[in-house]
Amino acid sequence: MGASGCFDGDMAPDGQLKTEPATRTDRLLPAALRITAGLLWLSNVGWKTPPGFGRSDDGCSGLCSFVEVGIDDAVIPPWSWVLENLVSPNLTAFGYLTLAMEFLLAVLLLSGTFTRAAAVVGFAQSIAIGLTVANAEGEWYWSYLLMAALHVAVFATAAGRYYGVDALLRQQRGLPRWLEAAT
Amino acid sequence: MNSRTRLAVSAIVAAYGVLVIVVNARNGFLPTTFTTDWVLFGGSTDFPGDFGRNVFGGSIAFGVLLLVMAVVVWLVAGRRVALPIGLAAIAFSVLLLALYRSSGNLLAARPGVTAVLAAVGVFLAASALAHRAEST
Repeated sequence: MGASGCFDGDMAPDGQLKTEPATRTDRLLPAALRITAGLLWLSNVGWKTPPGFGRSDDGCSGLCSFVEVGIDDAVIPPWSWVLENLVSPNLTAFGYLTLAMEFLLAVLLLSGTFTRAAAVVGFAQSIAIGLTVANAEGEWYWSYLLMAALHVAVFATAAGRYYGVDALLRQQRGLPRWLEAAT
Repeated sequence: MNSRTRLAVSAIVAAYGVLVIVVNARNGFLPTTFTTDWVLFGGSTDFPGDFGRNVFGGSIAFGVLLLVMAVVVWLVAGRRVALPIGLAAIAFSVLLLALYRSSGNLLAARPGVTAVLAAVGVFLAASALAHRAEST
């Protein structure tokens, strides 16, 4: 979306090296990482279906079945306790929270808005999903470590500053520090 | 906001809208239930089948809405009027998400396409704020 400023590794007045990417490729790659992460959430938000989120009189499917898997094939006991005692009894509330969070992650990462904050949330959600299903049959636990790593890369490159809304937001003078950190 | 950025975003949104129209073309113009007769991505594979259905699942009407948004981006991104239009797009996306059920919702919009509409809204709103920053 919006392009960002570009410095060729010159020195800032405080003596620090400006590290903004100089070439178009260097700016495109962080944006591609960010959009990949956005598509990851975009393509997975749809199967969290309200209002039952998979729980019905016929049994358990969808999100409900993943919670059950997390209880039965625990990665670490404290997490399976959380799933059994907090998440499963409140599946509807938890389901809406998941739907809203993953929808928001898709919106923020695709548009490049508050990208660093979104990357932190995406990292936490990746770890939570991994802790829930990594030991399930047919799952490859490295998938979830790679998901988490993808969000670390999005954070490290501040990927919303290239072809993202963060580039537009950062043009504003007097941006609060927390907002600057989130972009 | 330069015209190149506006054109690029507008072209991406329009291309996505056209794909949504094509993928859901067999579900009528204004359905409230999700299609089961896909033009593309109908296979039982995870990729591209499932991926495509989740990313492009909507309706012809929703695709047309995205085309309208593409034109709006081209015409008003970076101007003051982009702020209310962007906020309206975000609000409509939230409404669609709130109405989401397994059978369908208004405009048969799955959360994936709804998120794209919200992202366009965020871009429009932010472009108006950037315009304000440039002019002060």
